[in-house]
Amino acid sequence: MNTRLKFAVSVTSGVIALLVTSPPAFAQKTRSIPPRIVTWNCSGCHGVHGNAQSPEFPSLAGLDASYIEQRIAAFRAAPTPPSDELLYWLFNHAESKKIAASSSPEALANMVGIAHALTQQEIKEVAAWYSAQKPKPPAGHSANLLPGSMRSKIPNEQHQAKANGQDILHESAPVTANAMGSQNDDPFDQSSWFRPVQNVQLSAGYSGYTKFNEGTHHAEFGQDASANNLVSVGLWLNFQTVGR
Amino acid sequence: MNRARLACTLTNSLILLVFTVSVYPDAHALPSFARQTGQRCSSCHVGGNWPQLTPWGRFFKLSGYTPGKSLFGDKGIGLNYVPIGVFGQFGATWASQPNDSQGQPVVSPNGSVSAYEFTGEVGTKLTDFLGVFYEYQLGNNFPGWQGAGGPADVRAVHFFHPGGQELLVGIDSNNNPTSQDVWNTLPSWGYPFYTSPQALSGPASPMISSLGGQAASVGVYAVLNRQVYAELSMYRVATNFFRWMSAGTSFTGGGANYLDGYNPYWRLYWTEQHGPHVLMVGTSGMHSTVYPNSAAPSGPTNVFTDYGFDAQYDYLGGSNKASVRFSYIYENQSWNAGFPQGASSTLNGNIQSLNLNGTYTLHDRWMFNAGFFVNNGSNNAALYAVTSQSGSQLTASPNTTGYTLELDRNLTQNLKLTMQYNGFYKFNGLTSNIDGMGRTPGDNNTLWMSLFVAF
Repeated sequence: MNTRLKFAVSVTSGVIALLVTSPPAFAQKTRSIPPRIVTWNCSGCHGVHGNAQSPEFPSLAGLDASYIEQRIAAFRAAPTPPSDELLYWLFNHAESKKIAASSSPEALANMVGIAHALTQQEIKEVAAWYSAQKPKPPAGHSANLLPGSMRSKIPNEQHQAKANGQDILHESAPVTANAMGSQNDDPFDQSSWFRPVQNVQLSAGYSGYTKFNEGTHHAEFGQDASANNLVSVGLWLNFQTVGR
Repeated sequence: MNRARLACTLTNSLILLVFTVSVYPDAHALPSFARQTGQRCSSCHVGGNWPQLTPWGRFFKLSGYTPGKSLFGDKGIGLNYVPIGVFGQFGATWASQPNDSQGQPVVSPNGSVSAYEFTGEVGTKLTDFLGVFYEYQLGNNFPGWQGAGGPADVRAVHFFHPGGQELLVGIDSNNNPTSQDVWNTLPSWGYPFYTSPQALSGPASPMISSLGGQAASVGVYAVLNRQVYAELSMYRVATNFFRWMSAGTSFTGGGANYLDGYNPYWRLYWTEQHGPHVLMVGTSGMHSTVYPNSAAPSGPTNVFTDYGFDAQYDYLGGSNKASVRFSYIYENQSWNAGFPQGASSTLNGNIQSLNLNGTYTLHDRWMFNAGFFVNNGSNNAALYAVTSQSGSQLTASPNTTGYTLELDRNLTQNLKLTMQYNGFYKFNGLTSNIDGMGRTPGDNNTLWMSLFVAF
């Protein structure tokens, strides 16, 4: 064995020895260091301190510990999603429909499998850690617990985002304004909705403006802000296949 | 270990595997990482479109493939999932001009449906800090089939928390420079992600992308606060202890790249995520010392130094996702062995490789990809010369420029349809008469349609 190889082997075995012997509970002694399961699993999407970067994933910081535990229990109770979607679709269609109906597609895609891999001890640690963190909503995001891709399915999403920002002039979807009627705190949006079955939703709404582009009266075209008021009716259809 | 014992062990392992597949209720053959995490392909791969990675997919790889269920069951009995998967690819390739002007086939068979590859993979965590990924491919060489090792990657990792910071430190061993990287800019996992083995390509590529299945590494990497990444790996020829990483490669044939000693590969990048926006800027490189003849690895060597700069931007907005990727590699060549032997016309030379491409993903179902590439370099008649029928030299340049358009449709996460068009503006530095017999660069354009199956 030549010297360089010997050196490489000894460095490698040294590092392996270090990794093997370092106690796994090392990280859990101090409160400022997250539990192992948070670092190695949860933080990949929810952030080390529970402030998710991607709008696809919910932020967990500051949530009630028992709520986090409940959610994980719900994911664990859901049937494991079929990674072999094709086989399920072909041979076990009833089961695949049951799975699709058991939770949101995003949660199925990401959380059910992860939740199944957790131990009871790890669930307690995760819940305790995230509930102790301070929520820090990233700029431009409302403190909304729904994952972004779910929010985007709410027809009112675009309306909300823009109502919070400046781009009301280019607002594109007032027809379905506030169809879900749940997330918007704008007192001037009033609407109602009706879901005869879970795939179909009828909505009616009225959006009123007292100010538009920071003015009550539009100088250029001589229009009052209230001229933008809209009566809206909507029909929302949602048919999803397994896992989507 | 003697041959009989090895055969016995292999047989036992096979029996165990078949037994496990049939006993475990959720153990239909499917890609192993999805079974380990219980997640869908689209959790780690953008739109479920391998090999593009999501931020979680990158983290999964950097943390040594260790998140998810433990492989071994309670008390070490049985397996919690089967850590293997199988892929198959079928399709057909059409060339703009499948034959040259003399009627000799350039792309053959043209437009007939064939199987392209069958791949078996092992990808799994082994312990809470150790993971492995390995593929073995049976590939169609048109004509003939050949078995060869695909990507191999073994990782051991640990998280440290110095002063409230997070420092991930890993050691890694792989068989292809850049295959350990988590971005889709560098050669190993760059666009086009797949190409038809029948598609034509230019004559020059940098050494950093020419060592797959021939080299093996030992390396260390560190990730600070998931934002700054630094890596140093040493590559040597994949022989002796590393021979399993170069399965299917013949060094005695003389044509392989046989590295002399340990050759450094480095990688440094910075990344930032803000909401759905992800940005990465990085550099990479390698210094390779290569014997001119892999059958006789001794004496003078050729030296190649690659300097790479790359950047990637991802927008990950629910049902709309988009990526833009840029990569530039400059290679400095010293043909210390090749030039005196006549294998190179110049003592020093260079290669420049530029790639700019992007992907738009709709509803994790449709993927629209487009890419532009330039593979240029210094003139080298010994390597790139094309002569006319009268014997005069038409070119000594490797300059090949073109584009790749691709449309993918995920039917289910196990089935993907791909339609890819490879077009050339320039081939071997020529815009016409690229083979001395009147062929144009456009005649080398190919259309490829394929069905990819993964279980």
